[in-house]
Amino acid sequence: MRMRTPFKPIPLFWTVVLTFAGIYLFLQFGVPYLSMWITGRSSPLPIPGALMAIYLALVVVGLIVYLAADEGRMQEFWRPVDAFLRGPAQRQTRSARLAAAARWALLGAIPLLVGWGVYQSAAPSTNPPTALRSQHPTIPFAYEKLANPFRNPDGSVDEAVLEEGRILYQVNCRPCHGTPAAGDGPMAYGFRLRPANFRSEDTIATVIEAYAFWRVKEGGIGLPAEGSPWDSAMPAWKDELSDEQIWKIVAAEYHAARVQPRRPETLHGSALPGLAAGGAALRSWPRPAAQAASGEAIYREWCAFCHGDQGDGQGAVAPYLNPRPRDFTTGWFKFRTTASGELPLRADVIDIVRRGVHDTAMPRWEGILTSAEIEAVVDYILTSFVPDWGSYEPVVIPIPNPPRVTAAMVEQGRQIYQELQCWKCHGQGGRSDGPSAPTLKDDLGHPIRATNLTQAWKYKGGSELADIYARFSTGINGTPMPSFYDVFPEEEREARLWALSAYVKSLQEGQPGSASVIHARRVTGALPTTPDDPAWERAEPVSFYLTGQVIVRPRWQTPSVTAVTVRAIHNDQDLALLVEWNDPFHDVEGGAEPPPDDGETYVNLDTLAQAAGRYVDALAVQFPQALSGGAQKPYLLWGQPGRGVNVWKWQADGAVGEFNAAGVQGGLTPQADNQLTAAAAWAEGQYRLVFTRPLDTGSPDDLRLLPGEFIPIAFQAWDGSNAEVGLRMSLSSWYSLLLEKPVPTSAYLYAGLAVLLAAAAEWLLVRRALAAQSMVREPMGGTP
Amino acid sequence: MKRSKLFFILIVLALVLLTSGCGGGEQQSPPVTGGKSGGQGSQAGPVDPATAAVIKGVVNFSGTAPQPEPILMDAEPTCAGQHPDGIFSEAVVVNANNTLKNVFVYVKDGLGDLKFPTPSEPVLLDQVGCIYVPHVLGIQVGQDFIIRNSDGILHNINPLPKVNRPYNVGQPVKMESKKTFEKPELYIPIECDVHEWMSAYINVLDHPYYSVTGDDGSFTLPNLPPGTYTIVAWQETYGEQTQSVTIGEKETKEITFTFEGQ
Repeated sequence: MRMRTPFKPIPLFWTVVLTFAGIYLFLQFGVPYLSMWITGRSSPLPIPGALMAIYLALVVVGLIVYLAADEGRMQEFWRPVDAFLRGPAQRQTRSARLAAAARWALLGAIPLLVGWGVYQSAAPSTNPPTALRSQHPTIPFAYEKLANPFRNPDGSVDEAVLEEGRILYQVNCRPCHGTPAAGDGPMAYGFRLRPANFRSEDTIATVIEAYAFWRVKEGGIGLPAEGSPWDSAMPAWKDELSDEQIWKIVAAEYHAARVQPRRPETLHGSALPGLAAGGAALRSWPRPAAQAASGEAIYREWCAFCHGDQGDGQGAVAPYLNPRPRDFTTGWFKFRTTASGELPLRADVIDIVRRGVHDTAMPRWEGILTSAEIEAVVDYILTSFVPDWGSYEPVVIPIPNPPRVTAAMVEQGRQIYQELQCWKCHGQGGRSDGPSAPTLKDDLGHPIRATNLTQAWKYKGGSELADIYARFSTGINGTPMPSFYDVFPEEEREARLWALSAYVKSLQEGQPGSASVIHARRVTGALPTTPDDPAWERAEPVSFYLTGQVIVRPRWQTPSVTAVTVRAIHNDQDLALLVEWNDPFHDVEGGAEPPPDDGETYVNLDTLAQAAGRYVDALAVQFPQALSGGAQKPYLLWGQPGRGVNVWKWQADGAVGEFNAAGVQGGLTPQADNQLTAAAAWAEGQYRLVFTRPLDTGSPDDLRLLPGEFIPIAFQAWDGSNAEVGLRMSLSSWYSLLLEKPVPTSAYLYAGLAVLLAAAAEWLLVRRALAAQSMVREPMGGTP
Repeated sequence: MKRSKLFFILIVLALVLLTSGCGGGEQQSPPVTGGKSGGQGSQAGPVDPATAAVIKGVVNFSGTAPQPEPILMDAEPTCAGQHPDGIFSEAVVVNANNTLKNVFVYVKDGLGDLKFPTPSEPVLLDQVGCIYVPHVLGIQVGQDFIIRNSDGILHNINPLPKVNRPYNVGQPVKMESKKTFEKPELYIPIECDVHEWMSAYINVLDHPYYSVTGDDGSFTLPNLPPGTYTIVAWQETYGEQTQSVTIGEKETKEITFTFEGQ
């Protein structure tokens, strides 16, 4: 007796299709997670697209071979397809009629799908072209044989050298590469090509020290083309640091990242003895044994260069930072859960160390130091430097769990914002342009700005609801921000403060995301020329980060403008570009000379404070002077010799014009005459500026803006009252501007043609299937 | 039945008598001292009134009085409207009789180990028309410090001590806040961040012998035990001047300080 399976056998066609789908899903989703589990990494490892295509092609070939091996199998495979093409034999039963309807629907859909697919590939794409970049281009020959003179034969480095290197690293490299060398320094967020994370296994741990020496010396601009130098903000330190200093920095950065460099290959008679003897372990120098460090040792290694050896905030890095590193000897801590003026709780300080302080140089230590290490260093700091620590119990302000935010809460909060007159400092729109804002000083007498409440990334103590609630309740010690805890009677307090927190959170906007293309909408007719024109509603806004100009001297790591929002509209003749950014003070007068170069690698804020000067607010939009057609662009900071940029610059005193630059050395050269016009308005801490220029000005100095092309675009901004002028500015990376091009008629033609061809092919196949069926049937029908 | 009722009444009576003894009298609203001169040592203190002496005098000004600097209150129209004739900085206030106002005169030395009780009356600082009233105050360690907002608009009280704990309290409406100082400290500036022209100074002492000169430039330090004292006069622009004074039993001594204008 034949074995009966409980299931009806699946047609071979579906078996094949399901096999293919199953393998595809396994490769796409299963393998990445399996690899993650095997290698012990923290994220899944996807298969590259080209490899996927090869695997799937192999599967298809294998399936075809399987099917073709047997004639019966091939027919069996096509049987359901033939049945579909023929249609159901009779149309009497309901199920048969449904099947017939479904068949017609599918037969109709297939040509349309084909047409749609052809249209998609024929129409202009709105995805920017992917740029392939080599992370490790080949080291130049001149650098290949160099070795770090400070590294001992056993791979160790003397403590004295590390100490010097550490100071040099923290002063020069920390703003981008971060205090713990994890690539997340305070300036890093604004660069699309992120500063290298030295703690990652695939950066400096995979190269010899000479490689790092080359990169530090020659900088981003010294990269070969496959390393996309135009996107790299890495300074070329050869003009400012001696070779000896750079070697010390390299030694210190390896130590800070807790990785060892590769050893240069030694050329022996026999090939690669190290590999034979033990493989990868011998390719790098052995790691130093990990020791449990005391709180004091951790402080000396990670904290003292900012917070000072005496905990007084007078470390080597301090003069370049705003806000200053905390002076523990005052006992003032900003972010606590205790009442205004009180000392923090130990848990508060541990929290600050763990999560860092946004928008400042205080890094996030979670993940770098263990919990035990964080507690050890906090205990050391509190007991050694903070006066009165432990002598009394501070008054604790309880922060309850945040409620769900409702629209009514936000409206109530808006009224409370008016009643408490928060706008006196923070402005009506929250952009810190209030009437009392210009004269704010911290407790040491230094000028300080109220936080811009619209920019969530600039809330130093965190931008979540509970964080905001804590700020009102505890005040920020050492700053003008008071505590409002006692304003409300106890029974209303919580509800009112949550409402106010909800309102403040609702002000947050304009945080840049991952979008990198500005789509310039195409209109017919006149373009909007003023920022208030309602036509701007139809253009899609995109926001980008700006960060400090830290590439060439004078390096600026305290920028004011950190984001712009851009919209664009064109009409085939002119382009109108609307740029919006926040600036609390309307600086329309200026013209003072920038102070002379003080020789320091970053602007020293102590010496800057003494130099008087008034500067205007300004904004610049940068394009390449000519589109090269390839992926190559001019250098992101004012281009380079041979590949210049075309800059549109506007100043708050009304000056507007086009400039050209070919590298930082030459500066911005104004054009004799230009066709750029601008209209700007400043209100409540926000600038809105419209640039208008013909797409093609006819001048070789100006970029011809071509619709349908991804045009590189970058932004630079100056806030005059932040002492920004010249190269003391904020800048952005290269993004893209795409002028919408109407879909060419050829795309429609091709799509239509594709539909017709597909339909014709279908018709032929159906006819063939029906003919084959009638041929099969006839002999059964009996002889006429 | 009758006896138990009597017993019950007696118990209730006893309870009423007992509880009326506790609890003390009602709190009177404390008299507010304007900080002009310190506590008179009115509580039972370490000073014997039979032998107590007085040091008093004036603080003179010689030379040319500096031009008073006008304060521009345009950023706060509510307050600007309260000073139609203009308002001037109180950094140097020369009275009509060529004496100085707002000079803080106090005993720096000479009290030995005497301990003085903390007065129960608070010291008041008021914010009126966006100006601190008074401009210079004295207070004792642990004494209540009441900051009142009579303006009804946002002020914040931000004292900047170096020895005591600082604080920063917002007062958006008419209200009062109460604080104290734990340690003696001199010349503590008080600021409002919303109105940067507002300025006051508070001095924390552990004894009541201080006095702030008024419109007639005079000061008085009464109820002092006889002995030798170092008396300091401090003016915020011109700094400190010191004198040593010896007083006998029940003596009233007059001294003068003179500050020179530039």
